[in-house]
Order: sequence, then C-alpha cells, then structure tokens
Amino acid sequence: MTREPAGLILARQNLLTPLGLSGSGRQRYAAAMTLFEAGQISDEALEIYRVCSPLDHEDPAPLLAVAGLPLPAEPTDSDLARGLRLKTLLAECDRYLASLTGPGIAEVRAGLAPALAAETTPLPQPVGGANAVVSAHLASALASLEATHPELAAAIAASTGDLEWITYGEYPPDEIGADFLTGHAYAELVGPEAAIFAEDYDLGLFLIGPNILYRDHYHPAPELYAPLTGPHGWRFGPGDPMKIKPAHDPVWNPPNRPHMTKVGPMPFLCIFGWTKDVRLPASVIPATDWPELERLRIPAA
Amino acid sequence: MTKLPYPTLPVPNRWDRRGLPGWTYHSPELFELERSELFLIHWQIVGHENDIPAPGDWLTFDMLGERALIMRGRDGIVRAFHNLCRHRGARVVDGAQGHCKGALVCPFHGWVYNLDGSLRGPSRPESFDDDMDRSEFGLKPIELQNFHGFLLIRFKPGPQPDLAELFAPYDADFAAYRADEILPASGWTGATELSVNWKSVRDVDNEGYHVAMAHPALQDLYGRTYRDLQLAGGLSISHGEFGDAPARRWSVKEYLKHHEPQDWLPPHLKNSWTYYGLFPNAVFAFTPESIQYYQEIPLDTGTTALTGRIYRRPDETRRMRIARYLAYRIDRETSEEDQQLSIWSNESMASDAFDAFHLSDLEYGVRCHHDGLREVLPVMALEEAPPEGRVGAENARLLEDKPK
Repeated sequence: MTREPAGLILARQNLLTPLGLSGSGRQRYAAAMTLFEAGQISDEALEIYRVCSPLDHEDPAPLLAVAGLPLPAEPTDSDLARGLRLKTLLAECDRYLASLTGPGIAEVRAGLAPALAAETTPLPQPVGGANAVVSAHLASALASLEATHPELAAAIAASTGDLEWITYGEYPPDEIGADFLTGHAYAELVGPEAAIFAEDYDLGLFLIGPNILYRDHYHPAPELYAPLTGPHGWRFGPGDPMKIKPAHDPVWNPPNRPHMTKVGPMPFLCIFGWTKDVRLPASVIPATDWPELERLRIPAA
Repeated sequence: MTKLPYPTLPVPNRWDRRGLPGWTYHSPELFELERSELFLIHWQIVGHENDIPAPGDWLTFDMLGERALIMRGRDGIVRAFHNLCRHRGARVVDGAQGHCKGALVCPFHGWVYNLDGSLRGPSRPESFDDDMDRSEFGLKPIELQNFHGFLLIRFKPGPQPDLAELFAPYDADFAAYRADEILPASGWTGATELSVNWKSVRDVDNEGYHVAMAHPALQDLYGRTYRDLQLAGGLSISHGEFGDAPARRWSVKEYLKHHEPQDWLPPHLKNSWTYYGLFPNAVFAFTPESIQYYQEIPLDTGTTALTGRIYRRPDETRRMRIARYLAYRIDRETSEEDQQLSIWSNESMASDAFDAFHLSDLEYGVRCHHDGLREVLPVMALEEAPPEGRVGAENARLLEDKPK
C-alpha cells in the first residue's frame, strides 16, 4: 500500500480545523485548495470553502450537504497524522510565545525554530496509557485556556492522547513533597527524550493539580514558564515573599535561580522551555515553611 | 586610544568643502531619480533572521511604491517576495510583521500561496485555462542576502556587490559581536516621520563634529575618543570608547555603572559604541549589550520615515538589560536632538540666503556620502538646478559624458 503524502494528510486535518478559531476559515480553504490540486475534491467544493473562508464561524458542511457534495472525513489516525498534530501543537505554542514579551521568550523561540522547520516525524502511539493527573485536571485547565486562546487549547486537546505524559516518581518524597510527587505530569514535545529530538533543548507541557506546592528548587538550565492558567504563587528563594501571578505572565529563571510555585484553585498548565544544560540535574532547596505553604489556599482570580 | 583595524581612507589636505546644492533637497524630479537609481537598486536592511524564527513568520518592507514580504518557509529558509498577488496585485499580507499558518490567502479573490511563494492554486480554477501553469504564478522573488543574520534586500539589481564582498571590512567585527545570535528586543521598533528630505537626516548623522555641541550625553559617554572613519565602497565606521573619564550626566553614569564587561569581545569593541554605515541610508550600531540598525525611508521629497529595530544578546543578564535600557535612553535623547538639527539643516536648503556647507575635516563623512550620491546621480553636482522636467535628461547626459 502506498502511503498518502504528508501534505495531503495535513490538508485533511486542516480541513477539519474547528469553527470559530481565528484564521480557521482561510485555513480550511487553503487545505481545500491542496486537496483540489491533488484531484481529491471538486471545484464546486473548493468554491464552498472559499465562500466560507472570510468568516471563521461559517460552517461549510451545510452548504456541501445542500450541493450534494461529500463532507470531509477524519483522516486515518496514522503515525504520520499524529506527527502532524504534534507539529501543529508546536506551531501554536510558538505563536503563543510570540505573543508574549519578556526575557527568555526569544531564546525559547530560537531553540524551537529548528523543530518547527524539521520534516514531520511519524509519532507512534504512546505506550503508557492514560495519565491520572492528565485525566483529572487537563480538561478544566483547557476549558479555562479556551476562553482566551482557543487555537492553543484546541491544539493541546487534539494532541493530548498522542503524547507520553509522565508523572515522575523517582524524586525522594520527603524532599519534593508527596502531593507534588503524584500530582504533576509533563509531556516533552521537543528534547533529548521527545518525539522531536533536540540535543540540548527542552520544550513541553507541564501540568500540576490544584493547590499543590512545587517546592523551592534550582537547576543550571535557564527556564521559561509560560503559564496558560492562573492564578499561582511564586517565590524566588526561600524566605522571599510569594508573588501571585495570573495566567499568561511568563516567568524566566536564569541559570540556578531558586524558584517555587504554589498552584491556585485552577490546575497549573504551562509551556516550559529549557534552553541549554537540560541534562544537568535540579536540586531542591530546603525551607522551613513548606507545611504552611502546602496548607495555603490561593483565592480564585 | 585603541588602534582600530580598518582600511581607512585619509582625509585629503585640501578638498572641496561644499555640500550638495540646495535644490537637490527639494526637487521632485531628482527625488524620482533617487527612487530608481538609489533606493530600489541598493541594499536595504529589512530585519534579522531571528525576527522571524518560525516557518510562516513574516516581515514586510515598503519603499517608494514597492513592497516586500520576507517570510520563513516551511523548510526554514527565509525568502523575499514582492508583496503582491500575481492575480491583481493585492497585498498578500498586511501589516509590518506577522505569522501565517501554512499558506497565504490573498484577501482580494483568494488565490492561495505556499510559504515558499509558489502558487498552491487560483480560486475558481475552472474559470482559467485548463493548462494554466501554476509555476508561472508564484510570488515574484526579490533578491535577499544574509550578513551575520541581518537580512538585506534589493528590489532591482544595482551597482553594489554581494554582501560578503561589500561588507568584507565589517566581517570580523560582526563575527566578533556574534551578530547571528542576537535576538529581537521588545521596545522601540517602528517609524518616526520627519518633515525633511532624507539627505538632511543623513547629513547630520554622517559626522561627529556636532557631538560636543548638540549631544551632551554622547559627549559625556565617548566624545573624547569619538572617530569617524571613511572606507571604500560607501562604507563608514564611527567609533567611540567610553569609561576613560568619570561621567557627569545621570544616564551616562548609570550606564557606566551597570555596563557588564564582555570579555569575549576583542579589545577595540570591549568598551566602545561602534556604528557601521551602509550607503546610501542605513547604519548598524553596536554596543557591548545592544544592537540596532536604523535607516531613513524617504516617503516624498520633504518627508522621511526614520525606522529601525533593536536587538539584544541571548541570555542577557539583568545588568546587561539595565545597561541596554540606559543605552536606549541615551540614544533616544540623541535622536531627538538630531531630528531638530535635521529640520534646521533642511530648512536652510530652501533659503535663498544660504550659500553652501563649508565642511570641517571632521565632517569628511558628509563629503564622502555626497560623492557617492554624485557618482550615481552626477546631476547633483550642478550648482544651479536644471528646470524640472529636465533633471533626468541632464543626468543622463552627464552619465554619458562621464569618463568610462
């Protein structure tokens, strides 16, 4: 059997870009053009996508039905389709980062650029099965994100099942805290262990359950947190006062800067980026007020 | 003072100290010649490759009726195109900078282009000939070259060589500054419109004679060591070293306090602000912690947009960020002072009473720039303005008569 070209699989995916997302009308139309040029849809169907393209909410399906034309079908969920969804997610992460200002943003985008331009890698189905933290908390985090950033929320939702979410259980529980140990999950998108390889760069999604404390720690890797939900508390050294920050207010940790995150009532979902020294270990910094901070409840925004 | 490693042209013992005649600053017909013989055929800076790191990221650059789109393709390659649809000429993107997802869709009739500029397909394809060759209708490419990450285009072929050859005297410094690594800094990127002819802006910027008088902050920072150097090929370097004397002004004192020595820079760049000119209308400026380019975009005979972009070092420290901000403050103050000088200089060009510049040896850069202009447009050497309608013909005649 010959494999369908990546461009056509991507076009089939883009033809189904959810209604209402910014630019989605044109995206569906551009995908339809690819399929028309490949002889897979008619000029009549193409014209329906063009007519609907200026309005992102305009659904081509009723017009296709009236004209007696076939509705677009979900592409077969091949390894390549999963890889293409991951590329779409990366592109949305990049677009989101480009909308932010502050230190570290350009560094993370520069590190991500080679992955965005790389050939799409087929992505096998993850082997680990559903992650409990993701099952419990991702949907509410995405519902919150969807209100302001529907394209990014949709891309994360579409790729969630393709990703290897990890709840890292090897930390010493008395150091990292029992709640954090079982209450976090991350998925590397680009990095030494990720589906898209990078030697010394790491970008991914990080999820922590509500009210959990991610204790004070530091690492040599410069790190960007781009929080997609909020509020949450931050301090940058034991003994320093904790600052409450909203969603979409990025935090850049230069190398070895101590930092701590206290999650608020909403699960903490962020894009994280490590721009170098990603294989060097992190260390926890002991502090006496962890029990108090673990009991603390940050009010909703 | 640090010895500088540049192949510099000496200032002659005696030289014609006059500038360009006043009429060249307000002749509409000469302006048309400048458009075609200078701006559209000489290299123009449009940005840095790190301004558009992701596939689909784009910049635009408009100049005198031409408009360019600079875009990174799905393959990671940056290309430049005319920002006009091959169907009816509409802009395929609108704005100064942006991102498009996977394809460009012309907003007029909906022709669709791939990120490498090729035509994916026309809308209503059945309304064109069956054998319409898609490959003939890709976005029209514009020549683009990359110099240490900086992106330059020219709309049409011109007399300047490729950037590697043109900028050879700058190569070692740009490599030393690791210019390919720099990242866009949030802050000033944009345009200020000034009601002057573009040459009046350049006349002010091309000499440091006025620094002591007009730029107290720059004088305080590096005025004692400031040098303007002229190189062949329309290049020029200005160089000022700081830190040799205590500062008197707040912004300079704070800059010197927060400046973090960059040990990786060679000695002549460690404590200097260095400016690299590009004929006819642009300058790259480097300090140890910030990088920018600025250029004059003529809009009409008497209006000029001052544009540019600012960059920073990757992984900059807090101290470097503060020093960069202070450098920006000093630059902003200097730019405002220069804008006033440009207005006054431009006004004098319209006065019957003003005879001509009488330039100092410290203003030899102005002369060199004017020489470059007269080389391309010899009509600018005429003291008396040819009648409007005859400027082009007169220029053509002078070019004919020029010894080959």
